[in-house]
Amino acid sequence: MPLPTLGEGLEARRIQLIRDHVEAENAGDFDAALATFTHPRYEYVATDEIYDGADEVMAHWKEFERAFPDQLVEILKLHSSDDAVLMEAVARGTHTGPFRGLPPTGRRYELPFIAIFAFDGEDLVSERIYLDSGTMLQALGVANDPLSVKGRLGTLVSHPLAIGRGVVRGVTGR
Amino acid sequence: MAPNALLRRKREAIVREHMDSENRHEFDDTLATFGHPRYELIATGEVHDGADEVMQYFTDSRTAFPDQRNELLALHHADDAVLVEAVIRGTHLGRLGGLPPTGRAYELPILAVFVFEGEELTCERVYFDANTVLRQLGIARDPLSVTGRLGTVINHPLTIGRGLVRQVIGR
Repeated sequence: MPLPTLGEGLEARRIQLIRDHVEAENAGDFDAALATFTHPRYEYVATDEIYDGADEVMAHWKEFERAFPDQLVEILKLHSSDDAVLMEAVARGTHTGPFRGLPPTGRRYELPFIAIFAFDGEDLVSERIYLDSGTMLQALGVANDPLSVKGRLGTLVSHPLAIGRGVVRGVTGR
Repeated sequence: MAPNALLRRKREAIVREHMDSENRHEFDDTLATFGHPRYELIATGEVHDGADEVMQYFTDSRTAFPDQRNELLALHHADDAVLVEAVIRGTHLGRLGGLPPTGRAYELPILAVFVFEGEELTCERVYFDANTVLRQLGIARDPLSVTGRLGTVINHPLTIGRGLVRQVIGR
């Protein structure tokens, strides 16, 4: 039975391209990182953000570089599939610049994530990222785990209607 | 070594039965799809290892969201894993941790790494954004929105205050 899998050469070249991509980002060499894309595109599933084309992708990198200039990505595991390389990784950095209205907190964060690098043959055409936005915001001290005691008090204060209705429903059994 | 077509078919059947049996609420069948039952939830750092812990996890999550169901969007075969992009949907009708039920529905994109040793499923490691659920249940806001920022200032005065000072003095 013929194998529907990739030639060893293509798989190896794709993995090397992803290693080059991450290394360029870590070095702050965004021209080199951009060059790893045939079509530059980021998709953040958590927030529905999409950065498409060279200008938007570059602006996205610059925004993060300003907020988290020391960020480094460590690759934990690369999975190669027919039309993608999937990367389990952890990003670490320090919040030393302003980020979307949040002043720098000076705090360190550690954010595990998985990225799907989509390929069209040899060409890298998008990076789609699944991450937990709360992990980063909690590490930066601007969000609490809503299921912790402190988080529950904060939730009650911030969301009295949602919680009040829920309590009534809990008491009345409906 | 990439998995051959036969191994791919076997693994894919296990993953699909795993997800279908969850939708049928036949959790004994779901448990049986594991060679070793184990969940790792990256967002919360939770690990549920072994049959008892995994069964308890099924019970707890379906207490909070009794109608929870999944829809498979894309499936990626790798050497020692099958990676699945999916959407989970459910309604918050029971207690979640200490939170009373809000009656609200949610929709959550996830990526699940089904880790295999040969033909045996040994772990499901799930990446998702917990805030996406909490926002839809009405118990969290996007901290970068205007209302979210106001809430952040109220709930985290020290962190924000220190940050503002640091910004003003340029350090």
